Amino acid sequence: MSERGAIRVAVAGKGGAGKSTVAGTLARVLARRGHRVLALDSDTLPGLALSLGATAPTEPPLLAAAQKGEDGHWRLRKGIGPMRAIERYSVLAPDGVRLLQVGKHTDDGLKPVMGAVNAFYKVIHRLGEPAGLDRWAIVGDLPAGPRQLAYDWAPYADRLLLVVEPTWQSMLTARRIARIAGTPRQVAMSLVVNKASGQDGVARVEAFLGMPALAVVPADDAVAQAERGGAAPIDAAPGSAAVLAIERLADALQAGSLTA
Amino acid sequence: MSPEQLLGELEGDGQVVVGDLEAGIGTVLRLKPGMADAVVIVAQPTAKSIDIAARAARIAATREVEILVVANRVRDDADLAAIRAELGAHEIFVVPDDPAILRADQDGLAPIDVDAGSPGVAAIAALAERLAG
Amino acid sequence: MKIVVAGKGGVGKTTVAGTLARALARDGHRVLALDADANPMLGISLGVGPEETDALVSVRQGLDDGVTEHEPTLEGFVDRFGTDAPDGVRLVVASRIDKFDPG
Repeated sequence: MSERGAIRVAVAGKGGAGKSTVAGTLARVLARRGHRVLALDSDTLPGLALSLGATAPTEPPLLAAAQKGEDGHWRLRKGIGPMRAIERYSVLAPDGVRLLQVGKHTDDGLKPVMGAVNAFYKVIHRLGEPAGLDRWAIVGDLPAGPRQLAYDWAPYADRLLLVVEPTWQSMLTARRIARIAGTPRQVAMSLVVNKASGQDGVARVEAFLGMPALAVVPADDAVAQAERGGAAPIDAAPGSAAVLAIERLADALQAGSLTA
Repeated sequence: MSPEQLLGELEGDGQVVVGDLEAGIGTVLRLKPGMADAVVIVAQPTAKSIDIAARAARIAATREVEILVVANRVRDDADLAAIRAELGAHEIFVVPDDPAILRADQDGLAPIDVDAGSPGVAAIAALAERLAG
Repeated sequence: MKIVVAGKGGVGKTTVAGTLARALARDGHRVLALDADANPMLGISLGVGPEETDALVSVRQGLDDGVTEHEPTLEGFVDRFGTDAPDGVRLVVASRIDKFDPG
Protein backbone atom coordinates (compact mmCIF):
# COMPACT_ATOMS: atom_id res chain seq x y z
CA MET A 1 0.00 0.00 0.00
CA SER A 2 1.00 3.65 -0.15
CA GLU A 3 3.10 5.27 2.53
CA ARG A 4 -0.11 6.27 4.29
CA GLY A 5 -1.61 2.79 4.19
CA ALA A 6 -4.02 3.28 1.33
CA ILE A 7 -5.33 0.27 -0.56
CA ARG A 8 -3.43 -0.45 -3.77
CA VAL A 9 -4.65 -3.49 -5.69
CA ALA A 10 -4.55 -4.82 -9.22
CA VAL A 11 -7.07 -7.42 -10.35
CA ALA A 12 -5.91 -10.26 -12.58
CA GLY A 13 -7.38 -13.46 -13.96
CA LYS A 14 -8.52 -15.34 -17.00
CA GLY A 15 -10.88 -13.63 -19.43
CA GLY A 16 -14.43 -13.96 -18.23
CA ALA A 17 -13.50 -14.81 -14.63
CA GLY A 18 -14.97 -11.50 -13.46
CA LYS A 19 -11.99 -9.16 -13.07
CA SER A 20 -13.87 -6.06 -14.18
CA THR A 21 -16.88 -6.97 -12.08
CA VAL A 22 -14.78 -7.39 -8.95
CA ALA A 23 -12.61 -4.33 -9.65
CA GLY A 24 -15.49 -2.04 -10.57
CA THR A 25 -17.70 -3.07 -7.69
CA LEU A 26 -14.81 -2.86 -5.21
CA ALA A 27 -13.99 0.66 -6.40
CA ARG A 28 -17.59 1.79 -5.86
CA VAL A 29 -17.75 0.13 -2.44
CA LEU A 30 -14.55 1.83 -1.27
CA ALA A 31 -15.77 5.19 -2.57
CA ARG A 32 -19.01 4.82 -0.62
CA ARG A 33 -16.94 4.23 2.48
CA GLY A 34 -15.30 7.60 2.05
CA HIS A 35 -12.11 6.66 0.23
CA ARG A 36 -10.89 8.71 -2.68
CA VAL A 37 -10.67 6.12 -5.40
CA LEU A 38 -8.72 5.95 -8.63
CA ALA A 39 -9.87 3.16 -10.91
CA LEU A 40 -7.35 2.14 -13.57
CA ASP A 41 -8.53 0.39 -16.69
CA SER A 42 -5.55 -1.11 -18.52
CA ASP A 43 -7.56 -3.41 -20.76
CA THR A 44 -7.69 -2.40 -24.41
CA LEU A 45 -11.11 -4.05 -24.63
CA PRO A 46 -14.20 -2.64 -22.86
CA GLY A 47 -15.09 -3.84 -19.37
CA LEU A 48 -14.34 -1.77 -16.31
CA ALA A 49 -16.39 1.29 -17.23
CA LEU A 50 -19.54 -0.82 -17.45
CA SER A 51 -18.90 -2.52 -14.12
CA LEU A 52 -18.30 0.89 -12.54
CA GLY A 53 -21.44 2.38 -13.98
CA ALA A 54 -19.37 5.03 -15.76
CA THR A 55 -19.92 6.45 -19.22
CA ALA A 56 -16.64 6.54 -21.05
CA PRO A 57 -16.23 8.68 -24.18
CA THR A 58 -15.44 6.88 -27.43
CA GLU A 59 -12.22 8.79 -27.88
CA PRO A 60 -9.87 8.17 -24.94
CA PRO A 61 -9.30 11.40 -22.98
CA LEU A 62 -5.62 10.55 -22.47
CA LEU A 63 -5.03 10.98 -26.18
CA ALA A 64 -4.81 14.71 -25.47
CA ALA A 65 -2.15 14.14 -22.83
CA ALA A 66 0.39 12.60 -25.16
CA GLN A 67 2.55 13.81 -27.99
CA LYS A 68 5.16 12.23 -30.20
CA GLY A 69 8.63 13.66 -29.92
CA GLU A 70 11.05 14.17 -32.79
CA ASP A 71 12.64 10.86 -31.86
CA GLY A 72 9.34 9.15 -32.58
CA HIS A 73 8.73 8.31 -28.94
CA TRP A 74 5.53 9.17 -27.15
CA ARG A 75 5.73 11.25 -24.04
CA LEU A 76 3.38 13.13 -21.78
CA ARG A 77 2.83 16.71 -22.90
CA LYS A 78 4.70 19.39 -21.02
CA GLY A 79 3.09 20.18 -17.70
CA ILE A 80 1.14 16.95 -17.57
CA GLY A 81 2.15 14.80 -14.64
CA PRO A 82 0.15 12.06 -12.93
CA MET A 83 -1.92 14.47 -10.78
CA ARG A 84 -2.87 16.70 -13.67
CA ALA A 85 -3.55 13.69 -15.86
CA ILE A 86 -6.08 12.49 -13.33
CA GLU A 87 -7.61 15.93 -12.89
CA ARG A 88 -8.01 16.55 -16.61
CA TYR A 89 -8.23 13.21 -18.34
CA SER A 90 -10.01 10.87 -16.00
CA VAL A 91 -13.71 10.13 -16.30
CA LEU A 92 -15.93 10.82 -13.30
CA ALA A 93 -17.78 7.67 -12.30
CA PRO A 94 -20.58 7.39 -9.73
CA ASP A 95 -19.72 7.88 -6.04
CA GLY A 96 -16.84 10.13 -7.09
CA VAL A 97 -14.61 7.38 -8.45
CA ARG A 98 -12.08 8.68 -10.95
CA LEU A 99 -11.56 6.36 -13.91
CA LEU A 100 -8.40 6.55 -15.98
CA GLN A 101 -8.46 4.46 -19.14
CA VAL A 102 -5.88 3.15 -21.54
CA GLY A 103 -6.89 3.42 -25.20
CA LYS A 104 -9.45 0.94 -26.50
CA HIS A 105 -9.21 -1.07 -29.71
CA THR A 106 -10.91 0.63 -32.62
CA ASP A 107 -11.99 -0.97 -35.89
CA ASP A 108 -8.54 0.03 -37.12
CA GLY A 109 -6.77 -1.57 -34.21
CA LEU A 110 -4.79 0.21 -31.51
CA LYS A 111 -2.81 2.50 -33.77
CA PRO A 112 -5.22 5.46 -33.58
CA VAL A 113 -5.07 5.43 -29.78
CA MET A 114 -1.39 4.61 -29.21
CA GLY A 115 -0.85 8.04 -27.69
CA ALA A 116 -3.39 7.25 -25.00
CA VAL A 117 -1.87 3.80 -24.42
CA ASN A 118 1.56 5.32 -23.93
CA ALA A 119 0.30 8.18 -21.77
CA PHE A 120 -1.56 5.71 -19.56
CA TYR A 121 1.52 3.53 -19.15
CA LYS A 122 3.63 6.52 -18.18
CA VAL A 123 1.07 7.84 -15.71
CA ILE A 124 0.64 4.53 -13.88
CA HIS A 125 4.39 4.34 -13.40
CA ARG A 126 4.43 7.75 -11.76
CA LEU A 127 1.55 7.42 -9.32
CA GLY A 128 3.98 7.28 -6.39
CA GLU A 129 5.23 10.81 -7.09
CA PRO A 130 2.55 13.26 -6.02
CA ALA A 131 1.96 13.54 -2.28
CA GLY A 132 -1.62 14.42 -3.17
CA LEU A 133 -2.25 10.83 -4.24
CA ASP A 134 -0.93 9.32 -1.03
CA ARG A 135 -4.31 8.72 0.53
CA TRP A 136 -6.07 7.59 -2.63
CA ALA A 137 -7.15 3.98 -2.95
CA ILE A 138 -6.19 2.55 -6.31
CA VAL A 139 -8.02 -0.34 -7.93
CA GLY A 140 -6.61 -1.48 -11.26
CA ASP A 141 -8.23 -3.83 -13.74
CA LEU A 142 -5.68 -5.76 -15.80
CA PRO A 143 -6.23 -7.30 -19.23
CA ALA A 144 -7.17 -10.97 -19.33
CA GLY A 145 -4.57 -13.67 -18.99
CA PRO A 146 -1.05 -13.93 -17.71
CA ARG A 147 0.93 -11.85 -20.11
CA GLN A 148 0.40 -8.23 -19.14
CA LEU A 149 1.98 -8.54 -15.73
CA ALA A 150 5.21 -9.53 -17.36
CA TYR A 151 5.37 -6.09 -18.87
CA ASP A 152 4.78 -4.31 -15.60
CA TRP A 153 1.29 -2.96 -16.03
CA ALA A 154 0.62 -2.88 -12.29
CA PRO A 155 3.56 -1.01 -10.72
CA TYR A 156 1.24 0.78 -8.26
CA ALA A 157 -0.07 -2.43 -6.73
CA ASP A 158 1.20 -3.98 -3.55
CA ARG A 159 -1.42 -6.67 -3.79
CA LEU A 160 -2.62 -8.70 -6.72
CA LEU A 161 -6.14 -10.05 -6.51
CA LEU A 162 -6.35 -13.28 -8.47
CA VAL A 163 -9.94 -13.71 -9.57
CA VAL A 164 -10.59 -17.38 -10.21
CA GLU A 165 -13.69 -19.32 -11.22
CA PRO A 166 -13.92 -22.96 -10.15
CA THR A 167 -12.95 -24.21 -13.62
CA TRP A 168 -9.69 -25.78 -14.71
CA GLN A 169 -9.05 -23.08 -17.32
CA SER A 170 -9.36 -20.39 -14.68
CA MET A 171 -7.24 -22.23 -12.12
CA LEU A 172 -4.44 -22.92 -14.60
CA THR A 173 -4.45 -19.30 -15.68
CA ALA A 174 -4.20 -18.16 -12.07
CA ARG A 175 -1.25 -20.44 -11.52
CA ARG A 176 0.46 -19.01 -14.59
CA ILE A 177 -0.22 -15.49 -13.37
CA ALA A 178 1.10 -16.32 -9.91
CA ARG A 179 4.33 -17.63 -11.42
CA ILE A 180 4.85 -14.57 -13.60
CA ALA A 181 3.87 -12.17 -10.83
CA GLY A 182 6.46 -13.71 -8.58
CA THR A 183 9.21 -12.08 -10.65
CA PRO A 184 10.91 -9.65 -10.80
CA ARG A 185 9.20 -7.77 -7.98
CA GLN A 186 7.55 -9.65 -5.14
CA VAL A 187 3.93 -8.60 -4.87
CA ALA A 188 1.45 -10.01 -2.36
CA MET A 189 -1.20 -12.19 -3.95
CA SER A 190 -4.68 -12.90 -2.71
CA LEU A 191 -7.28 -15.26 -4.06
CA VAL A 192 -10.83 -14.25 -4.85
CA VAL A 193 -13.00 -17.17 -5.89
CA ASN A 194 -15.72 -15.85 -8.18
CA LYS A 195 -18.94 -17.38 -9.48
CA ALA A 196 -18.64 -20.03 -6.79
CA SER A 197 -21.51 -22.49 -6.66
CA GLY A 198 -20.54 -24.64 -3.73
CA GLN A 199 -17.91 -25.21 -1.07
CA ASP A 200 -16.38 -28.09 -3.08
CA GLY A 201 -15.43 -25.79 -5.92
CA VAL A 202 -13.92 -23.25 -3.53
CA ALA A 203 -11.94 -25.93 -1.72
CA ARG A 204 -10.61 -27.24 -5.03
CA VAL A 205 -9.39 -23.81 -6.12
CA GLU A 206 -7.78 -23.19 -2.72
CA ALA A 207 -6.05 -26.57 -2.77
CA PHE A 208 -4.85 -26.19 -6.35
CA LEU A 209 -3.33 -22.75 -5.79
CA GLY A 210 -2.18 -23.42 -2.26
CA MET A 211 -3.87 -20.23 -1.04
CA PRO A 212 -6.90 -19.59 1.16
CA ALA A 213 -9.59 -17.46 -0.44
CA LEU A 214 -9.55 -13.86 0.77
CA ALA A 215 -13.11 -13.61 -0.52
CA VAL A 216 -15.66 -15.93 -2.08
CA VAL A 217 -18.12 -14.33 -4.46
CA PRO A 218 -21.05 -16.63 -5.17
CA ALA A 219 -22.52 -17.24 -8.60
CA ASP A 220 -25.31 -14.71 -8.70
CA ASP A 221 -28.12 -14.47 -11.18
CA ALA A 222 -28.80 -10.84 -10.31
CA VAL A 223 -25.23 -9.89 -11.21
CA ALA A 224 -25.35 -11.98 -14.39
CA GLN A 225 -28.52 -10.12 -15.29
CA ALA A 226 -26.86 -6.76 -14.69
CA GLU A 227 -23.92 -7.77 -16.87
CA ARG A 228 -26.17 -8.83 -19.69
CA GLY A 229 -27.74 -5.43 -19.71
CA GLY A 230 -24.43 -3.60 -19.39
CA ALA A 231 -25.27 -2.16 -15.97
CA ALA A 232 -23.03 -1.97 -12.91
CA PRO A 233 -23.89 -4.74 -10.42
CA ILE A 234 -23.77 -2.30 -7.50
CA ASP A 235 -26.49 -0.22 -9.18
CA ALA A 236 -28.66 -2.97 -10.62
CA ALA A 237 -28.27 -5.50 -7.81
CA PRO A 238 -27.11 -3.66 -4.69
CA GLY A 239 -28.32 -6.19 -2.15
CA SER A 240 -27.21 -9.24 -4.09
CA ALA A 241 -25.06 -11.93 -2.49
CA ALA A 242 -22.22 -11.15 -4.90
CA VAL A 243 -22.12 -7.44 -4.08
CA LEU A 244 -22.25 -8.23 -0.37
CA ALA A 245 -19.30 -10.57 -0.82
CA ILE A 246 -17.34 -7.72 -2.37
CA GLU A 247 -18.23 -5.58 0.63
CA ARG A 248 -16.56 -8.28 2.72
CA LEU A 249 -13.58 -8.20 0.34
CA ALA A 250 -13.31 -4.47 1.03
CA ASP A 251 -13.42 -5.23 4.78
CA ALA A 252 -10.58 -7.74 4.38
CA LEU A 253 -8.47 -5.29 2.37
CA GLN A 254 -9.06 -2.49 4.87
CA ALA A 255 -8.13 -4.77 7.74
CA GLY A 256 -4.95 -5.63 5.88
CA SER A 257 -4.07 -1.99 5.44
CA LEU A 258 -4.34 -1.34 9.17
CA THR A 259 -1.88 -4.05 10.15
CA ALA A 260 0.69 -3.27 7.40
CA MET B 1 6.15 -15.16 -37.24
CA SER B 2 2.76 -14.17 -35.84
CA PRO B 3 0.12 -16.84 -35.13
CA GLU B 4 -1.85 -15.51 -38.09
CA GLN B 5 1.17 -15.86 -40.37
CA LEU B 6 1.70 -19.37 -39.08
CA LEU B 7 -1.92 -20.10 -39.90
CA GLY B 8 -1.30 -18.73 -43.38
CA GLU B 9 1.61 -21.14 -43.90
CA LEU B 10 -0.35 -24.22 -42.90
CA GLU B 11 -1.90 -26.43 -45.53
CA GLY B 12 -5.66 -26.10 -45.85
CA ASP B 13 -6.14 -28.82 -48.48
CA GLY B 14 -6.89 -32.29 -47.20
CA GLN B 15 -7.13 -31.22 -43.61
CA VAL B 16 -9.13 -28.86 -41.45
CA VAL B 17 -7.20 -26.41 -39.31
CA VAL B 18 -9.05 -25.00 -36.32
CA GLY B 19 -7.24 -21.99 -34.95
CA ASP B 20 -7.83 -20.70 -31.43
CA LEU B 21 -5.95 -17.42 -31.55
CA GLU B 22 -5.80 -14.40 -29.27
CA ALA B 23 -8.99 -13.26 -27.62
CA GLY B 24 -10.37 -9.95 -28.79
CA ILE B 25 -10.37 -8.36 -32.23
CA GLY B 26 -6.64 -8.35 -32.88
CA THR B 27 -6.86 -11.65 -34.72
CA VAL B 28 -9.40 -10.59 -37.32
CA LEU B 29 -7.51 -7.33 -37.75
CA ARG B 30 -4.37 -9.27 -38.70
CA LEU B 31 -6.16 -11.66 -41.08
CA LYS B 32 -4.84 -11.46 -44.62
CA PRO B 33 -6.04 -13.34 -47.71
CA GLY B 34 -5.10 -17.02 -47.54
CA MET B 35 -4.89 -17.18 -43.79
CA ALA B 36 -8.41 -18.44 -43.12
CA ASP B 37 -11.47 -19.58 -45.03
CA ALA B 38 -13.96 -19.06 -42.22
CA VAL B 39 -14.21 -17.10 -38.99
CA VAL B 40 -16.43 -18.38 -36.20
CA ILE B 41 -17.32 -15.51 -33.88
CA VAL B 42 -18.43 -16.50 -30.41
CA ALA B 43 -20.65 -14.23 -28.31
CA GLN B 44 -22.45 -14.61 -25.00
CA PRO B 45 -25.58 -12.59 -24.23
CA THR B 46 -23.65 -9.87 -22.40
CA ALA B 47 -23.24 -6.28 -23.53
CA LYS B 48 -19.43 -6.54 -23.48
CA SER B 49 -19.11 -9.70 -25.55
CA ILE B 50 -21.75 -8.67 -28.08
CA ASP B 51 -19.94 -5.37 -28.62
CA ILE B 52 -16.66 -7.12 -29.36
CA ALA B 53 -18.33 -9.79 -31.50
CA ALA B 54 -20.08 -7.16 -33.60
CA ARG B 55 -16.79 -5.34 -34.06
CA ALA B 56 -15.05 -8.56 -35.05
CA ALA B 57 -17.82 -9.32 -37.56
CA ARG B 58 -17.52 -5.86 -39.13
CA ILE B 59 -13.78 -6.30 -39.57
CA ALA B 60 -14.06 -9.91 -40.79
CA ALA B 61 -16.56 -8.77 -43.42
CA THR B 62 -13.74 -6.89 -45.15
CA ARG B 63 -11.47 -9.92 -45.18
CA GLU B 64 -13.22 -12.23 -47.68
CA VAL B 65 -13.91 -15.02 -45.23
CA GLU B 66 -17.06 -16.90 -44.37
CA ILE B 67 -18.52 -15.62 -41.13
CA LEU B 68 -20.53 -17.72 -38.71
CA VAL B 69 -21.70 -16.80 -35.24
CA VAL B 70 -22.01 -18.97 -32.16
CA ALA B 71 -24.43 -17.62 -29.57
CA ASN B 72 -23.06 -19.27 -26.44
CA ARG B 73 -24.76 -19.87 -23.08
CA VAL B 74 -28.15 -18.78 -24.34
CA ARG B 75 -30.88 -19.35 -21.77
CA ASP B 76 -33.98 -17.84 -23.36
CA ASP B 77 -35.44 -15.86 -26.25
CA ALA B 78 -34.32 -12.59 -24.73
CA ASP B 79 -30.70 -13.79 -24.74
CA LEU B 80 -30.89 -14.82 -28.37
CA ALA B 81 -32.63 -11.59 -29.34
CA ALA B 82 -29.82 -9.55 -27.78
CA ILE B 83 -27.27 -11.36 -29.95
CA ARG B 84 -29.47 -11.28 -33.04
CA ALA B 85 -29.85 -7.53 -32.67
CA GLU B 86 -26.17 -6.98 -33.46
CA LEU B 87 -25.25 -10.11 -35.40
CA GLY B 88 -28.48 -11.16 -37.09
CA ALA B 89 -27.07 -10.62 -40.56
CA HIS B 90 -24.97 -13.77 -40.09
CA GLU B 91 -25.84 -17.44 -39.66
CA ILE B 92 -26.12 -18.05 -35.91
CA PHE B 93 -25.59 -21.40 -34.17
CA VAL B 94 -27.18 -21.41 -30.75
CA VAL B 95 -25.34 -23.19 -27.94
CA PRO B 96 -27.67 -23.25 -24.93
CA ASP B 97 -26.50 -23.11 -21.33
CA ASP B 98 -25.42 -26.71 -21.09
CA PRO B 99 -24.76 -28.59 -17.83
CA ALA B 100 -22.47 -31.01 -19.67
CA ILE B 101 -20.21 -28.18 -20.82
CA LEU B 102 -20.21 -26.62 -17.36
CA ARG B 103 -19.28 -29.96 -15.83
CA ALA B 104 -16.54 -30.41 -18.41
CA ASP B 105 -15.01 -27.06 -17.42
CA GLN B 106 -15.16 -27.93 -13.74
CA ASP B 107 -13.59 -31.35 -14.24
CA GLY B 108 -11.07 -30.45 -16.93
CA LEU B 109 -12.64 -32.67 -19.57
CA ALA B 110 -13.63 -32.23 -23.20
CA PRO B 111 -17.37 -31.48 -23.44
CA ILE B 112 -17.69 -34.08 -26.20
CA ASP B 113 -16.36 -36.72 -23.79
CA VAL B 114 -18.75 -35.71 -21.00
CA ASP B 115 -21.83 -35.98 -23.25
CA ALA B 116 -21.56 -36.04 -27.04
CA GLY B 117 -25.33 -35.75 -27.33
CA SER B 118 -25.89 -32.76 -25.05
CA PRO B 119 -27.64 -29.79 -26.70
CA GLY B 120 -24.54 -27.60 -26.60
CA VAL B 121 -22.22 -30.21 -28.05
CA ALA B 122 -24.81 -31.14 -30.67
CA ALA B 123 -25.05 -27.51 -31.77
CA ILE B 124 -21.30 -27.35 -32.25
CA ALA B 125 -21.39 -30.63 -34.15
CA ALA B 126 -23.98 -29.05 -36.46
CA LEU B 127 -21.60 -26.13 -36.95
CA ALA B 128 -18.85 -28.60 -37.87
CA GLU B 129 -21.09 -30.20 -40.46
CA ARG B 130 -22.07 -26.80 -41.87
CA LEU B 131 -18.44 -25.73 -42.18
CA ALA B 132 -16.79 -28.77 -43.66
CA GLY B 133 -19.58 -31.12 -44.61
CA MET C 1 -10.10 -25.64 -44.88
CA LYS C 2 -8.85 -23.16 -42.30
CA ILE C 3 -11.14 -21.94 -39.54
CA VAL C 4 -10.42 -19.24 -36.97
CA VAL C 5 -12.45 -18.91 -33.79
CA ALA C 6 -12.75 -15.36 -32.44
CA GLY C 7 -14.41 -13.55 -29.56
CA LYS C 8 -13.94 -11.74 -26.27
CA GLY C 9 -11.97 -13.65 -23.64
CA GLY C 10 -14.22 -15.83 -21.53
CA VAL C 11 -17.12 -16.25 -23.98
CA GLY C 12 -16.31 -19.87 -24.68
CA LYS C 13 -14.09 -19.42 -27.73
CA THR C 14 -11.69 -22.17 -26.70
CA THR C 15 -14.45 -24.55 -25.64
CA VAL C 16 -16.11 -24.05 -29.03
CA ALA C 17 -12.81 -24.46 -30.91
CA GLY C 18 -11.92 -27.66 -29.10
CA THR C 19 -15.36 -29.21 -29.45
CA LEU C 20 -15.48 -28.17 -33.10
CA ALA C 21 -12.15 -29.88 -33.73
CA ARG C 22 -13.31 -33.13 -32.11
CA ALA C 23 -16.63 -33.04 -34.00
CA LEU C 24 -14.83 -32.48 -37.32
CA ALA C 25 -12.55 -35.41 -36.58
CA ARG C 26 -15.54 -37.63 -35.83
CA ASP C 27 -16.96 -36.54 -39.20
CA GLY C 28 -13.89 -38.11 -40.77
CA HIS C 29 -11.72 -35.07 -41.40
CA ARG C 30 -8.00 -34.84 -40.72
CA VAL C 31 -7.85 -32.11 -38.08
CA LEU C 32 -5.05 -29.86 -36.88
CA ALA C 33 -5.90 -27.78 -33.81
CA LEU C 34 -3.77 -24.68 -33.47
CA ASP C 35 -3.59 -22.97 -30.07
CA ALA C 36 -2.03 -19.56 -30.47
CA ASP C 37 -3.70 -17.88 -27.52
CA ALA C 38 -1.23 -16.16 -25.18
CA ASN C 39 -2.82 -18.28 -22.47
CA PRO C 40 -3.04 -21.73 -24.13
CA MET C 41 -5.94 -23.88 -22.92
CA LEU C 42 -7.18 -25.61 -26.07
CA GLY C 43 -5.87 -28.98 -24.93
CA ILE C 44 -8.42 -29.12 -22.11
CA SER C 45 -11.39 -28.69 -24.47
CA LEU C 46 -9.86 -31.29 -26.77
CA GLY C 47 -9.65 -33.84 -23.98
CA VAL C 48 -5.90 -33.87 -23.47
CA GLY C 49 -6.20 -33.18 -19.73
CA PRO C 50 -5.44 -30.03 -17.71
CA GLU C 51 -1.96 -30.76 -16.37
CA GLU C 52 -0.91 -32.28 -19.68
CA THR C 53 -2.18 -29.15 -21.42
CA ASP C 54 -0.17 -26.97 -19.09
CA ALA C 55 2.97 -28.95 -19.84
CA LEU C 56 2.76 -28.69 -23.64
CA VAL C 57 5.74 -27.13 -25.34
CA SER C 58 5.07 -24.24 -27.65
CA VAL C 59 6.28 -24.41 -31.24
CA ARG C 60 7.57 -20.90 -30.89
CA GLN C 61 9.43 -21.82 -27.74
CA GLY C 62 11.03 -24.55 -29.82
CA LEU C 63 12.02 -21.89 -32.32
CA ASP C 64 13.56 -19.87 -29.53
CA ASP C 65 15.46 -22.92 -28.35
CA GLY C 66 17.05 -23.15 -31.77
CA VAL C 67 15.85 -26.52 -32.99
CA THR C 68 14.90 -25.27 -36.44
CA GLU C 69 17.88 -26.70 -38.23
CA HIS C 70 16.52 -30.20 -37.77
CA GLU C 71 13.11 -29.42 -39.26
CA PRO C 72 13.35 -27.55 -42.56
CA THR C 73 9.67 -27.60 -43.37
CA LEU C 74 6.91 -25.97 -41.42
CA GLU C 75 4.84 -29.13 -41.68
CA GLY C 76 7.71 -31.17 -40.28
CA PHE C 77 8.10 -28.71 -37.48
CA VAL C 78 4.41 -28.86 -36.66
CA ASP C 79 4.57 -32.63 -36.82
CA ARG C 80 7.47 -32.73 -34.42
CA PHE C 81 5.97 -30.41 -31.85
CA GLY C 82 2.41 -31.59 -32.16
CA THR C 83 0.58 -33.67 -29.58
CA ASP C 84 -2.02 -36.30 -30.15
CA ALA C 85 -5.49 -35.53 -28.89
CA PRO C 86 -8.45 -37.94 -28.96
CA ASP C 87 -10.15 -38.86 -32.26
CA GLY C 88 -6.84 -38.36 -34.08
CA VAL C 89 -6.80 -34.60 -33.67
CA ARG C 90 -3.30 -33.18 -33.75
CA LEU C 91 -2.69 -30.22 -31.41
CA VAL C 92 0.00 -27.63 -31.88
CA VAL C 93 0.61 -24.89 -29.36
CA ALA C 94 2.06 -21.82 -31.02
CA SER C 95 1.86 -19.06 -28.48
CA ARG C 96 4.71 -17.09 -27.07
CA ILE C 97 4.58 -18.22 -23.47
CA ASP C 98 6.63 -15.83 -21.41
CA LYS C 99 9.32 -17.85 -19.76
CA PHE C 100 10.48 -16.72 -16.36
CA ASP C 101 13.07 -18.59 -14.42
CA PRO C 102 11.68 -18.94 -10.90
CA GLY C 103 15.02 -20.02 -9.53
